[in-house]
Amino acid sequence: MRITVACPQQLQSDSNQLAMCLALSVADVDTYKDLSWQDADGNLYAVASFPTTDAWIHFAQNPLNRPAWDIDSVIDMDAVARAQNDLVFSDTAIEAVPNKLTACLGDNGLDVLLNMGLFAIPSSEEGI
Amino acid sequence: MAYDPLALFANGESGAWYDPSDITTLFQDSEGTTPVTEDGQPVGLMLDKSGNGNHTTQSVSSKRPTYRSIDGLQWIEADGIDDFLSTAPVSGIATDADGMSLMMAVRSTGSRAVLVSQYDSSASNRNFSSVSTTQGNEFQFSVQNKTNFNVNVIASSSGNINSDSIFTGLWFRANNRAELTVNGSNSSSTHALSSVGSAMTEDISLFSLNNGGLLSSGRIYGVIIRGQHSSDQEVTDTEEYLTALTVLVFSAQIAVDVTAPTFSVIANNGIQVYYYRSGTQVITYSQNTQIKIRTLNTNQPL
Repeated sequence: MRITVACPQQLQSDSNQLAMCLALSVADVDTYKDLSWQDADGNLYAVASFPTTDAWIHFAQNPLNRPAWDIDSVIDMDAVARAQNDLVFSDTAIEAVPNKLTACLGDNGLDVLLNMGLFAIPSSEEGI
Repeated sequence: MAYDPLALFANGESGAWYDPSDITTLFQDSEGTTPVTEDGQPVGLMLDKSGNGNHTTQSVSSKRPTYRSIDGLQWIEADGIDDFLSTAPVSGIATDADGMSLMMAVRSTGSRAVLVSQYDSSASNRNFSSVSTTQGNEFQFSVQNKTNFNVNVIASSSGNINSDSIFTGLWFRANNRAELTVNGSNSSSTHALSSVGSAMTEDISLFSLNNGGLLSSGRIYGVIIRGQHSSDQEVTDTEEYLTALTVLVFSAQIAVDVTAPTFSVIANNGIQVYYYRSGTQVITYSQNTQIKIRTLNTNQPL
């Protein structure tokens, strides 16, 4: 099972706090790093895609505590709560919107993003 | 004695050798504390087997490729969305003195062929890449200077999406020549590549150009990057080694009644059947093909 997540620009900071809280280290603050996707209206998104489990999805939608690895209190737990309030899960691809952190299941992440209405922005390295 | 790609680095050649079929080189985290043990686990660290210490890592959990082990084959798989691995900065692989080789067994599964690169976007340095960035689904072995795109040495091969590819890219500085062979199809080009920039120190990236600047989806069965152009024999040996990583090899003996010397084999989807006689490959069939082999001489067994 694979999950693909579209993080809109305005939720990028809070979503990266949530990503750290759900994952394994401070490096996960870069989960939603590059705003390299956009919707038909030109809204920008950072995206992530990874294998997951039902248990992880359940975990992500319930109240979270600071993970044991965060002994220096790096994570902003208020931001985590805000991001969780903006989190939308779907068993199928649904349209990404600029005020929600949209997470969709689907075996092929690139197909899921397409069906979420997102398109990759050509990189500066394209065409060299 | 079986060929060992480590021989390519026996004289201190720079580069790296990545071998997902050797699970002892794979770890789920980038620190190397949790080994990969089964199919479906993330790969945060893949050790370099060349002896150069160019281990490749991914510290962000969601960006780690996935280890796959199915039906006797092993590979790492990237989603084309955010997955890639990269090394710490490595001194330039493609040098004037020695040229370079990029040899790999891969399967491209998206719109861009599998990327392996050493790239610096900001300086007039020597880059190499396995993919054309203008023709994404096409393999292209290029060695170039970033700031002057007229001084490229490029060889291209048509795309091989959703099938396994044995890629061999060779660059020879002496005559400004690049050669690319993909599954036996050869192409080459020459150009007066400037000699500046060989001192670049940059990451080597797998599934990516420039540390995530461009991404590709697909499989890597094995990658060898060598700061030396390789001899014909080295290429032959390495291509055979890489091919073996993509094919489940088994042998079987089939008893044939010489009084009625026929038999048939159903090759199910994805299975390839080879028939060798006296060391020579006689027949190859694949993809739902029913094959029938009949002896031409009943005195000569199959």
